[in-house]
Amino acid sequence: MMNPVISHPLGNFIREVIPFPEVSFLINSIISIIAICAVAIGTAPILIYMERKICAHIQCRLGPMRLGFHGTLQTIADVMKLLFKEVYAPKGADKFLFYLAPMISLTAPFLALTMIPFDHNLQVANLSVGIPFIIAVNGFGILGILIGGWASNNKYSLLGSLRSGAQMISYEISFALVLLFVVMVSGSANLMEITQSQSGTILDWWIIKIPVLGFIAFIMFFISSTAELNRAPFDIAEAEQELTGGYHTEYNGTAFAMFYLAEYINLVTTSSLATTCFLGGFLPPLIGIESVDLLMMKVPGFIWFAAKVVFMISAYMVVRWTFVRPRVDQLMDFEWKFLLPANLLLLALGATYIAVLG
Amino acid sequence: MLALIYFIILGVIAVGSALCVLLSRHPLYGALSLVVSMVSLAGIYGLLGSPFVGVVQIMVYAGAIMMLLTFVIMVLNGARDSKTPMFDKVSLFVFPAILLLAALLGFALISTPLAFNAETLRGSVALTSETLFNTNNKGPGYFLLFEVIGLLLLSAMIAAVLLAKKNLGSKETEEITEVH
Repeated sequence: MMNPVISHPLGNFIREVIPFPEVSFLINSIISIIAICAVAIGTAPILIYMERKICAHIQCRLGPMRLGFHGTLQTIADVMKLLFKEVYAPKGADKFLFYLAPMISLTAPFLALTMIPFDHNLQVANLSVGIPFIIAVNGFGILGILIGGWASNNKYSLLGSLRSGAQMISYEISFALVLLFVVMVSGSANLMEITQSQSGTILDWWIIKIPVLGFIAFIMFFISSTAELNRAPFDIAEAEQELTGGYHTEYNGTAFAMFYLAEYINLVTTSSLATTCFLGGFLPPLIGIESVDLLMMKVPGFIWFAAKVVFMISAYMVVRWTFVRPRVDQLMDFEWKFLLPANLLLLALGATYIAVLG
Repeated sequence: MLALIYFIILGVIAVGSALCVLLSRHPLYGALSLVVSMVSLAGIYGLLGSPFVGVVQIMVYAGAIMMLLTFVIMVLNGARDSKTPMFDKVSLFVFPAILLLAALLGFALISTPLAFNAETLRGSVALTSETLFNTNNKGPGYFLLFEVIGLLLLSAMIAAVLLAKKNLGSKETEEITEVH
């Protein structure tokens, strides 16, 4: 039976206090669920603020400045506005599916977050099939977008959702293949073991450890995950200028906030995945000089993890506000005619590397 | 004990959503209930000690195949199908067939001895890879068969493309490819 054990000291404490294993397991599960929700929902306002500031500075503006210190309260005001808006569905829309869609698209990033090891003992479920699970769960995000666009009873929404469905299904292939490369070189699909396989100095991270190939794989992961996230430059699903917002044209208030939240939690999840697979996860970036290394070892793992995730997120944001959006056919051509063959070649080269040097 | 509770919950969801597939009027609702059914089946596989099979179930059936189905339903506007009657003459033949199949399956299940231990792992990543790639004297090494099935699927796909593009190379298709 699949028996995820919560390895944090808190889990052990509850197991000691409560005699029945079933009850303590349930309590531990509820604590994990609350923790995951708190992390996911708590980071979203910070990310929105970050995105606005980065966007503003790239466009030579100041961004939010009025509310609070340098506009820090602006996102809270925005969230309040979104939550207190009237919720209504357009005429002729399928009400049930209309409200179900944002919830479906929220499940995917939450489920993926449970697999991420934030520290040595901070992981909700230590499954042996961590990476396949994340790839499998990503599909629900597409389902949510498809249903949302269809249920809105709006041509723009339907077009946007069909576009995004086609795009996400295509890019999911190269996303999965890059992760397969990581699984191949590290010899495990378990995210904790992938992290542990990179222990050592900074040169042992998968981005550097395999000469050139690791870096190419990282870039490919970055491209395909940007497309998976539906973020600019690959945001043809929303494409404000052509589709007036794509699949969430008709959404407002809380339902729209849920789509928005799903996008940002997905950003966190994907960045954590990149951190775990390529940048050494929660391991400190040791450089081989003993005095410096000892200092870095004292910092807890989840702080290193958070720092790397923030670095990845800002990379995604800078890319978002720097590049222009390609056309739909260019996007598809890029995936099927360049990225996928390149990925297969990368897999073959990785296998050769393992066979020759591993 | 906990596993039994999980199994009952997942089983009820799986059977209930499978009934919804049959009874729902709109094809999109049917597809969604099928997704729910697949996901709860994946949960049951996990309970049986085969998390890998469960994840593959979600990835292939609830993910890829159901996505294509929803795509087709949306593009073809399946809403008009919701007016077709639920039972017609064909049902007269379908029902006895289903009952016969259920009876056969039930008989087969009852007559086999069920020695079941929920703690053993059956479909983990390591076990699956060993079944596929272990080509020693002991291991079966099924990976060649696996590849051949992939070729079969590929040929089916090519046949479907050929059927859909009946007039390959004719004037009409050329115009379509140029317009984009």
